[in-house]
Amino acid sequence: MKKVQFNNKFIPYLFVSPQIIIILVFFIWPSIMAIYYSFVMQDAFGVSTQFVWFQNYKDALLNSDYYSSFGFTLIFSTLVTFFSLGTGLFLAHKTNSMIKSRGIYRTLLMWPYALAPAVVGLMASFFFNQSHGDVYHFLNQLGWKFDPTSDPFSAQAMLVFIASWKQVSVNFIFFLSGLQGIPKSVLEASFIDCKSNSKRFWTIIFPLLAPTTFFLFITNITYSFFDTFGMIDTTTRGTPMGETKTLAYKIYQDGFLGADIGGSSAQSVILMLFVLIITIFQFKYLEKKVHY
Amino acid sequence: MEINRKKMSYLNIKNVIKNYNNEDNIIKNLSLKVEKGEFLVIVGPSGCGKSTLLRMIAGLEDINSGEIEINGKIINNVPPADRNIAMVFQNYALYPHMNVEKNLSYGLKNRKIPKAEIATRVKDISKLLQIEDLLKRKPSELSGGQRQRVAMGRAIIREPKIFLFDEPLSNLDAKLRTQMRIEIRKLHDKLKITSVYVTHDQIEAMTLADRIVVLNSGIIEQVGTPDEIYHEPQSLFVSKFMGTPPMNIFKSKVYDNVANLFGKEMKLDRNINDNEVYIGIRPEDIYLEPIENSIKIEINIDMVEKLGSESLIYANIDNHNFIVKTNEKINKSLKSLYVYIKNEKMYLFSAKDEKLIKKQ
Repeated sequence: MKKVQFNNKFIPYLFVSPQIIIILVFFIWPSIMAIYYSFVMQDAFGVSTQFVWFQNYKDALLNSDYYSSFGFTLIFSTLVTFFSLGTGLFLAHKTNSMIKSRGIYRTLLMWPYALAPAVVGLMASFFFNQSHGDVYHFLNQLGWKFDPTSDPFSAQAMLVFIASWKQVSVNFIFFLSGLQGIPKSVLEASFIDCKSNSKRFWTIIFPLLAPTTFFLFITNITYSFFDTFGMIDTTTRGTPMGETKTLAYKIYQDGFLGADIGGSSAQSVILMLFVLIITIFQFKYLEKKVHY
Repeated sequence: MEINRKKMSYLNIKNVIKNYNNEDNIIKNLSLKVEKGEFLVIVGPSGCGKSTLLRMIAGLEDINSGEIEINGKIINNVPPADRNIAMVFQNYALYPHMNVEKNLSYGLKNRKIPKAEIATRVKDISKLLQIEDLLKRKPSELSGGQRQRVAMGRAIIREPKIFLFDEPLSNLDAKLRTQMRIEIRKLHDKLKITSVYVTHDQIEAMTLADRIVVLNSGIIEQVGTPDEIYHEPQSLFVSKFMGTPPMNIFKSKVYDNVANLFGKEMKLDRNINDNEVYIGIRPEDIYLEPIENSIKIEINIDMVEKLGSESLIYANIDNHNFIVKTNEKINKSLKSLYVYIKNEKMYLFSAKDEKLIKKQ
């Protein structure tokens, strides 16, 4: 690439400033504020502020609610990642092997991506509604005493379902482009070398999709940690019995509804560290295995 | 590996037709037999259907009608993995996530061949192709020539009935291509596996083939040994396609077996029933010294290309391009030159169907 030389020293900084300002205002500053608040305790009106060292962290980590929320978040994100990746891959593989009307499927399967998580939650609250929800009645007719308002398992299952459904479209489109990136001749060579369709998929196609899968794995975990907030807020709001509270939702409840800014900031910082560790781990250990 | 003629396979293609979406046929009622242990090269310009034909033999494309047989057994509906063919692809098509050893053994593992046997075969093949030191490397860590060897190895190791090559040398540089060409031929002489080789490169075709098939828009123009194809081209297309530089072709009116070549009359030694004919002369069949029974023509020189042992003279006569190949030293500043053309060195093709008019 050709290097551009600027006569004025400040012009290059001017060009990158929008990005830097965005990062500073929306990422760095809130993070610093969260770290600051996590070390102080304030009264409900923010009149008096007291520096309390690690008291907020201690309170959070000694609370059993925190661990049940932590546990739910782990199971929830694992299931959502698994189902949305699996379904996305399945649909992409099927669509890719179609000869006709592939474009129509591609377009239709992309649509859920356009919905905001809160809208997905709102739709779900109609479908799973006790008085007129079709899915509610269907599941109960199947013999499952499905009731998201009082049965934690039902509520959790519902959230896993809608959170996965929303993410399938993104995974689908990435997997589809990943599949189309596999050289045709490599596939043809494998047709000559391997008779079984399923074996060919797992020994050739799936390994060649590894870079895509790795990327989607990280984005899906991040999605289920943070972006599912809107869905939870428009459906269960953490009920029944606080069993559908992800860590992100608990932070919101404690901070904005419970007015415990210090406590929720401490939880944010812990969550931030946790996600940081997962991401470093993924890049360090998984990435080595996915490139060829 | 020993050569056993009984174990060799033959391939029979009968009245095969291929088209996509009911458009014009790509392969038009083509029949061809590949004999046991033969190295058959299919050559033709791009889009002539040669790759499609090869892919139909491999089972990667369906056939619209006709039959393909291996050893007398129809394989139209046999999946590629069960046809017992092996194919070498133009861009090698190695599995990028597997190392060389796994690339070689993948097809064997899927055929449930015992591990010990796979190990011996991998060892033998890697020795044969001199890739023993590369077994643990991934394809991305190999050079073009090494990838080519691995691709060959992956095909040979299966001990297939038929070998299919789809322009396997076109991604290599000129020097490596010559080298691999010789190796492929040597390998064939050693293993004698019936092979079908597709290329657009006539030099590859001439050097590798036992027999050449010249294909033109889905029709076989001529089948023959390299010598037959070069010295007895049966159609205008074959004569133009085979040979570098290409044959000089002129159209000429004919009256009473007398042709008119740039204003000079010439009595032809063949009986012509039309009143028009194509005259073809190979660049090396044009003489710079006077010879018997020839006509003398003056050509205007556009450019002289010195190739070392020989020179190519690019010239024109009445705005017809004309190429002469000669071993004599040519002065580059020369503007025009007399050349001598002999009737018996001429190829005559009918202006109607472009077929060869044979000598009596």
